[in-house]
Amino acid sequence: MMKDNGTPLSRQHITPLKRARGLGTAHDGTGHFMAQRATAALSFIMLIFLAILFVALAGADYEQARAIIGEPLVASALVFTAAAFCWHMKLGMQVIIEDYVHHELLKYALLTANLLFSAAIFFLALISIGRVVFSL
Amino acid sequence: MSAHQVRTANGRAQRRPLSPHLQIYRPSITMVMSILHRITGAVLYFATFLGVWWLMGLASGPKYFAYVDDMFRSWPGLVILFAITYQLFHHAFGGIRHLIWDADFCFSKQAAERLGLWSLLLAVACTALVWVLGWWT
Repeated sequence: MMKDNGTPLSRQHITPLKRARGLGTAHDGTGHFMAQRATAALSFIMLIFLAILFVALAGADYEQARAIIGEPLVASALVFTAAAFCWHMKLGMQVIIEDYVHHELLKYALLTANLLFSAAIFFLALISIGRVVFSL
Repeated sequence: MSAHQVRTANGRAQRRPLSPHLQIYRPSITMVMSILHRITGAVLYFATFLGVWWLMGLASGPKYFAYVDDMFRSWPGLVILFAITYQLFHHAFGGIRHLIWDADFCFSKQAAERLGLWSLLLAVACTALVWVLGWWT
């Protein structure tokens, strides 16, 4: 007979299948954990691109900077970087809030603000890059 | 300092012992890197706005771009940019360290400490490399 923490199946009030479908106490399964790691790996790769871009932009004036950012490959990579960073930072700040804020109402207010801030940063980056790309 | 004021069932205040926390332990590289990973993560969260602000400047035209770009190229601006560069690499290599642990490697005390030291050295080296290259172009 299958056991869980030493309790026989006959004495558990939910079956292992039901428990698995419930996705644990957070009702989220390993989704947050996996997304955190996936966006971390993506962010690391994009950081290499960002470092090269940063060096390329260091000596650039307005026209040169617009030409560099307006390049379709550069612009696409930069939008991808923004997506990876913004998703990753939303997940990270969520953990910080859940760790330290125990007042329920304040916690949900901050979790909502976190989502809005992360999304806003992404959309501002997207629109700004788009404006540079399509005005060339 | 290891006592905590609580109220018992009959309403009397009582001081109860607490388990040891941060101020008790001698700092180790693994502990310091763990704390710094969270702090740099939180700082970078808000620092993304600076990157977006620069992009907004670039999208808004030459006049506003000159204002934004001058801010970044002023001494306080460069110091802030340098700090953000370092924190990006610190958090990135600290993250790689966590991915290595997630893959079930380097869990011995010596390996974990070596990993912390390496991520610190790589973060310093990459920051230096980017700024030396950036300064010369």
